[in-house]
Amino acid sequence: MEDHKIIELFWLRDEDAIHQSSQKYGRYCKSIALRILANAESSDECVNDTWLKAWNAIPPQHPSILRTFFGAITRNLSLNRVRDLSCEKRGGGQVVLVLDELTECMPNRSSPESILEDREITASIERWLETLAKEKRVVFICRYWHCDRVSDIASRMGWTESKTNSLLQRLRVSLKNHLELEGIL
Amino acid sequence: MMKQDRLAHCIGHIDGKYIEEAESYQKTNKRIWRVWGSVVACLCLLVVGAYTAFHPSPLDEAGNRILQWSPQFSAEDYFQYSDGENGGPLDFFSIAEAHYPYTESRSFSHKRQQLEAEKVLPVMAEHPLFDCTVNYLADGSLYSLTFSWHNQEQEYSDLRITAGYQEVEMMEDCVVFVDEDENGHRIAPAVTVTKRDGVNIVAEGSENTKKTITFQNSSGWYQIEGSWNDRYADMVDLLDWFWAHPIDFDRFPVEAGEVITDL
Repeated sequence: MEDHKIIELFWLRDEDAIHQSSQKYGRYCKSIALRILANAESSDECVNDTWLKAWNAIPPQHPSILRTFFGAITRNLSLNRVRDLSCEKRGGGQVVLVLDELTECMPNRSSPESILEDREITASIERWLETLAKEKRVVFICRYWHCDRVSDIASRMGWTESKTNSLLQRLRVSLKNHLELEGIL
Repeated sequence: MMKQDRLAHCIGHIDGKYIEEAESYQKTNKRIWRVWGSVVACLCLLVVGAYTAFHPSPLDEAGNRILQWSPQFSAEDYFQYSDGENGGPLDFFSIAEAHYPYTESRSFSHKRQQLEAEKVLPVMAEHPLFDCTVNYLADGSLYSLTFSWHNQEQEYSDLRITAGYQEVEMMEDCVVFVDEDENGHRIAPAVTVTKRDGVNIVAEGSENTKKTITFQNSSGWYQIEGSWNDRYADMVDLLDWFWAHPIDFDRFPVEAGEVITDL
């Protein structure tokens, strides 16, 4: 079923929307959850929760890219699960490593966390992504959105792990500088 | 929320186009690959070669593998065997993202209006973002050029055409990606080949995936690429345009382009 029809089902509050979403994007979402959780059962739970979240989000939302909309929900649910269950061992510690790396870019701060602030941060990150060459942007997304292993990214890009780590390090510094420049930090 | 969770959370809400870009991105030298001969004349031949390797007879028993174009041919017809049901997906080979032996690139993006007025390019009002990059060999001759049109607003679109007229040299690196099943056997790629005016047009991809149309005619070789969100009709509109308006590569001398500064 085409995406716009699935979205229409959500808007019509037709529960077939969930069935169609699961059929079309279930495997995709599960692959995202598995990368983060490395646990089939937990991944299935996150994917099932994804449809519920989507059900509550559409309407009013009208995603322009349904696949990544679902993917983002699954990713965030999976990250939350890692945190809530404190299951650092899951995912081979990959998620913990990813989160630790991101700490370099955004040290703790005391200002209130609001949805508005988060949107500003997201918008700032997008502006920074636009300044990057495509290859670097892809590496950043693979690591910090998909939580891919550095070795997997290196393999995909045809680089050494050392080169990939070096690039990631420079990207983190660059992001931190950008966030400082925009007054986020 | 922990501090690092917060940034991870914000990254999780970035625009889906970046995720799409990362997922569809691929280098030329990854996954399982096969070298198709030591030197292959051009990419179009390469793609058709890939097809014929899996289908030794251009007309199979069903007699419908190579489609015959007609004026009634629809955009969907070009892709009718490309949906994966007739074989595994071919891992897309993008000329534009391949590493070729050109030594210099220049931008002609600033000439969009002029190129449209001179009917070199179609007018694509729904694509406000445009880029034209031309690549040159060490002797200054044009090697390939890429026109790309983007719309990153609500109706995301990323259309691109890469073209050239010289033989694609140094094809040692030119590989075709094929999928293998768990027993190591190749899975035939899902492509549609259409013969139009004696020229084979190879189409790959389907709805909600990246799509390509590749062909070579007397004016040169061409590869049209569309994103997951571009329609078959968008792709075929470009095909029809460049079929009727073959690129005059002499319009793009190196001295007329703007120097590209590396980001």
